[in-house]
Amino acid sequence: MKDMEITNDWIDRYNENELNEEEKEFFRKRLEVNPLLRTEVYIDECLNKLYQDEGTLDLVKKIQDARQKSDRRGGKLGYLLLAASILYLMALAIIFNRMHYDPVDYASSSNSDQNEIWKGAEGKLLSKDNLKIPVQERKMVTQKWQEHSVNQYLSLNYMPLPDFELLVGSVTRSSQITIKSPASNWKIAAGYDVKFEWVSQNRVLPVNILFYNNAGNLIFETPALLDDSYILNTKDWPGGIYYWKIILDEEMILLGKLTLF
Amino acid sequence: MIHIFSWITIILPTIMIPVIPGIIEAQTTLPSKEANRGNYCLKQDEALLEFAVTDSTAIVFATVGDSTLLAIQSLNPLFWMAHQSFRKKIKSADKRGFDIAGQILYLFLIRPIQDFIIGKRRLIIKTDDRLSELPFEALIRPDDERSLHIGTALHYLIRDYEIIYHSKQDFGQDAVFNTADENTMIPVNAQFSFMGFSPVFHNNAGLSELPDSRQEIAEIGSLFRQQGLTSWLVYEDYSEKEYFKTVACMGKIVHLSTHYLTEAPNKGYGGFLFSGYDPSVTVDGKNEGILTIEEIKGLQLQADLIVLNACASGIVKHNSGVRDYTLPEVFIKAGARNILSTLWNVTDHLAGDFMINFYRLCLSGKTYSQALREVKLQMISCPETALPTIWAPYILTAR
Repeated sequence: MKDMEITNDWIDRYNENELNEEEKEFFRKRLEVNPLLRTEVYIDECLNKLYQDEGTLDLVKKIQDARQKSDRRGGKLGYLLLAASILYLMALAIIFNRMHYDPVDYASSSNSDQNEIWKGAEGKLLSKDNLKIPVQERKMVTQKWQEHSVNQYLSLNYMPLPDFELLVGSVTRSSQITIKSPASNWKIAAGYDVKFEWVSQNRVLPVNILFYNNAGNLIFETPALLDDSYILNTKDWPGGIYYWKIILDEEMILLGKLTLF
Repeated sequence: MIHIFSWITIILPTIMIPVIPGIIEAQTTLPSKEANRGNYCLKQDEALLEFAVTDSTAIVFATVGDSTLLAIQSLNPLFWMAHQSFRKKIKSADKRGFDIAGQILYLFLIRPIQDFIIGKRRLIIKTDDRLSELPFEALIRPDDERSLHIGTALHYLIRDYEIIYHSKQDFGQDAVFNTADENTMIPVNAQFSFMGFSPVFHNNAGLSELPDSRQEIAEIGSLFRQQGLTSWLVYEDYSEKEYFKTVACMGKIVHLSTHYLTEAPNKGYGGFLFSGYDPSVTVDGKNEGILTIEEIKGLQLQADLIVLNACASGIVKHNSGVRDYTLPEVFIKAGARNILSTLWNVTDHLAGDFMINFYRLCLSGKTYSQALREVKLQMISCPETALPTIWAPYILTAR
């Protein structure tokens, strides 16, 4: 029994009731624990029904005829479509690239130290730039630096982010974990440690904590945490408003706010 | 630049199949006798969309009146990457790139039948398991200038249509999906127009308190009373599981504001939490404070609407031995007609506000799907609540 291995034809054989009892039992056990396999079995079953339907077969034949005619007519059109597809997919690739990576404004800074890649404590590699004020706002500050007082510069870091403000502190109606600390709107002097602590309802699930600056840019992400606490050192963090999200199983459990002064 | 090339490297193999999203590989209109797909009594302004997907193909049957459009669309890894990214970002309140993923999904799933359903008011969506956790409301129409801007102006699908999800529950040959007699706020065969349950979990160790859930059902009850309708509100310690099981059959609308626990401690069954829940007392997988799926199946409901205002109450899967059923489908099997549930975690405060606005619109004469759409549009128009994480989890499933 242990030596069995499910191959592609098992799904067909299962739906056609061709598996022997031992195989069937093994397959059912795998079905119970594998949602992907269940989906494939379900789709295969649906397709079998679809293929047995005379109307559908007739329809498929008509579609195939139409495509064959179209292929005969448009040899060059096919190549054009292929070229267009490549261009389109390249454009999509660029768009997707934008989705996954935040733009880093290398041009706006002459100081190479500011663009130095910084490794947060046990976290992901991030640009140190993100710790500071947003790119657009930084440009403005660079241009008009002479005219701004230090207080004005700092005030940009203390502007709340409307997207997150309404979510701060409201617990979700999921009881998987309960956050014990910090308070959802916590103010502390920069440089101090902030202890995150939570209690799991049942089994221990990995938790991620994401930190955003007040422009909504992700600045720091912890690795998956299996303990029930995490200590954040704010030593290198400039004063300002930060937001943190506790993520469990890809879902946000709580959004909090941390003000460093 | 390296990143761009890494993406191209991933996508290039897929161009062996020359597919442009939104351009349909095959499309045909079925003759009217074949268009009657199942027992659906669609109104003039309704369209039924049935989706079946494999790794490489999406089949969409769009039915309008007495004709059906069959659109077969090839899928490439880009679709599945966008699908995964969209769901992850929407659930974790991450708006970076969310709009692009939403537009890609729209191109693959809605664009092929976009012109066919034009002018319709309501979409009835029936999906297979692979798309069952996708909020179609939040897909973004890309061919609109507004889509270029983030936030309140994105052209979400909900701007164009009311959306109802059709339960996959098999009700036999004679069952008919019919929205003709939907939502009138007049109680029929029910003792109470509205029954609300809110355990709140004040001073319950290990559970977050839900103070806004109390306020939620209090305000909704008040709205019903103002209309001369009866309401029965059950708070805190009185909100016990056994009591719920006894009286839930007496309400036309049954509203549950509580926690949902996917898996109880000590390998116990998950379910909705009620007053008296104690994580340390689980006997034979059962806990006195948890309403499990097995217990829901045994309820004799006659509710026109069940509202499950808890976290991810719309996606919990129950394996019946043949196929998976979602929690709304289990409630439908127990006798309910419409279920309003959630696809991911909802916050206590905003979940309460959402529901109060929903009922206010229902009581002003809107149908459930109209009211749901309008609340969502109100939230989209406000910058503080425009994030789909806040408004998109709510879905209406109908028998």
